[in-house]
Amino acid sequence: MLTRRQIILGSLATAGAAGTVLAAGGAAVAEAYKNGYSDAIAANQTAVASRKTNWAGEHQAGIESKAQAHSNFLAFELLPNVTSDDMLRWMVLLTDDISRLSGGQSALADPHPELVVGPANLTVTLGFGPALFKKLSLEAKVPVGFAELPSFKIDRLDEKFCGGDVLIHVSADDLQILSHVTRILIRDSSSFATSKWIQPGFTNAIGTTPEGKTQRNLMGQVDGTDNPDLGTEDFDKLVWIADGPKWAVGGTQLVLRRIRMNLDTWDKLGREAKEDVIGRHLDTGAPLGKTNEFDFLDFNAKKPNGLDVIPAFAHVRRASAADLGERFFRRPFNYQVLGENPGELESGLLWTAYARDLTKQYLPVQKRLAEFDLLNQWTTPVGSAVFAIARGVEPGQILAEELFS
Amino acid sequence: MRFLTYNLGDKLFKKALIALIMVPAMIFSLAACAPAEAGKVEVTGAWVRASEYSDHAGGMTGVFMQITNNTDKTVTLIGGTSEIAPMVETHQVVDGVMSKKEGGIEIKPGETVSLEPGGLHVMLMGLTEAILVGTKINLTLKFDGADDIVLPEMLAKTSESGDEDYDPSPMPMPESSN
Repeated sequence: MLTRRQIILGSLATAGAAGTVLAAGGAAVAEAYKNGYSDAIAANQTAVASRKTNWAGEHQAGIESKAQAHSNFLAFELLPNVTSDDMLRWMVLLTDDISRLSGGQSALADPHPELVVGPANLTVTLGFGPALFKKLSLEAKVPVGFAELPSFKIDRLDEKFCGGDVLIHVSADDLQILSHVTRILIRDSSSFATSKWIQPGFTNAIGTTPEGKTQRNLMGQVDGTDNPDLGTEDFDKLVWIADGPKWAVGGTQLVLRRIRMNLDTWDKLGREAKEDVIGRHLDTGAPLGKTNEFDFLDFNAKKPNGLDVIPAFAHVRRASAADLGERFFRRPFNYQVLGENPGELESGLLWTAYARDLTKQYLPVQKRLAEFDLLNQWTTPVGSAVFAIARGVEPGQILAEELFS
Repeated sequence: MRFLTYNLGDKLFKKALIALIMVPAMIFSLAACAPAEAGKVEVTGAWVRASEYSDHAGGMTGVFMQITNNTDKTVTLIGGTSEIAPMVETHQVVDGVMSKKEGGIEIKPGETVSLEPGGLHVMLMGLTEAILVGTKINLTLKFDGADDIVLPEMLAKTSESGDEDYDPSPMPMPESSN
């Protein structure tokens, strides 16, 4: 697992500390090298825990970055009579927790600080549901395009996975660290709100797939090929809110849909049939008739018999943007939970869309998919929620301060 | 010498040698700007507890932290001052009973003392305003043998751990088990 670069860097640090190498002879170099090697091995053993994602800045963390291995979406409902002043104190607490935990320090008053062995790429993202704006009479501060979703005929929504006044989305590359941080955040929220639902999800762990590789959902499909690339102007324009209420400028809007998969019937389909449903080859993720995942989707291509290469009912055709404005960023997590009956597993996707204007960018696509998408036969939306995500802040500032003051 | 043969290309080896010569100079300059922690008393992780005893004027509460004595002599935390509490005392909990810690809290050279729920703490009494969850307060700690330490904007949090018996009524005795 060690790269040569790590080994050499390790040896340099050790040699430098010893300070005896100005006239380094072969033996000194060799000794330094040996020590550096064991230091590098030790660092490698805690590499996952020590990875850090910067929590501060123009945008909140947990959106424009690779999805971590584990994630909890936590929705809260305000306690009766909670005011904007109370909200502000809650935000003070959460901002303090986030700044400490993201750096790998335990939160203040943590009864089990030993559990925080590092940040493990922890990110915490705060958002607010439409109901909160009503409850606190903050309608004037709702970002443009942010609203409850209409109901779709494909929906089989279960209230226990819907709505929520406040979202705390917390992710990390280590499940034990995430579990502890989740408890801390819920505990620190308990004076202001009750936990409404918790939806855990996962992706591949660090060290399992090459950097930049599109992840797969539990139906085996690559999922997220059309995403805007991280760190690009395209991403900025699609995701981050550029004007409107100050608390939201640099924030975004999130749709979270809990999509149950019927894997038992999906498994029965042949490989070719599955590829037709999606419009992509399962192995490479390439559009049907193409060889590479990122090849152009040619909806006009015909087979020798005159039929469409990508069928009319294919998911990629229905999901594809009718114009460039109908795009957004997806950062999904898989889920697997026990089914209602003993011995049953339920698998699915915590599907997310991030857009600066959900009404313009996401709704048209969702309407098309609800209307006609063969994939709907094997997938059922069972939960749905939207949240306006606050802008990021610098150290010393308070998340969502302008919303509640 | 086995490790020298470890897959190290000639070019890489030369780079390493050059860097080996550079590094001591860098370390030296870094050391010059390293924070001077030695010789000071350091407080970390300070917070004040918000509870039903602190949510009104006239109430009281505890303050918790870790104090490290980096000096070469024993220092004693003897109390403090705060604009929202006329009385600031050092307290202890022994066998579940809280009492004033007469003489303050001693911290020996090189030692870290934890003030935590259910143990040693600083008591703020006669609060002039409510301390709620998420409230920030200022506190100045007074030491015997060291300078005052100001804790600005200390955060108030809830905590169930080590719940202290602030209630004047006696603690309920556990029922005999069935």
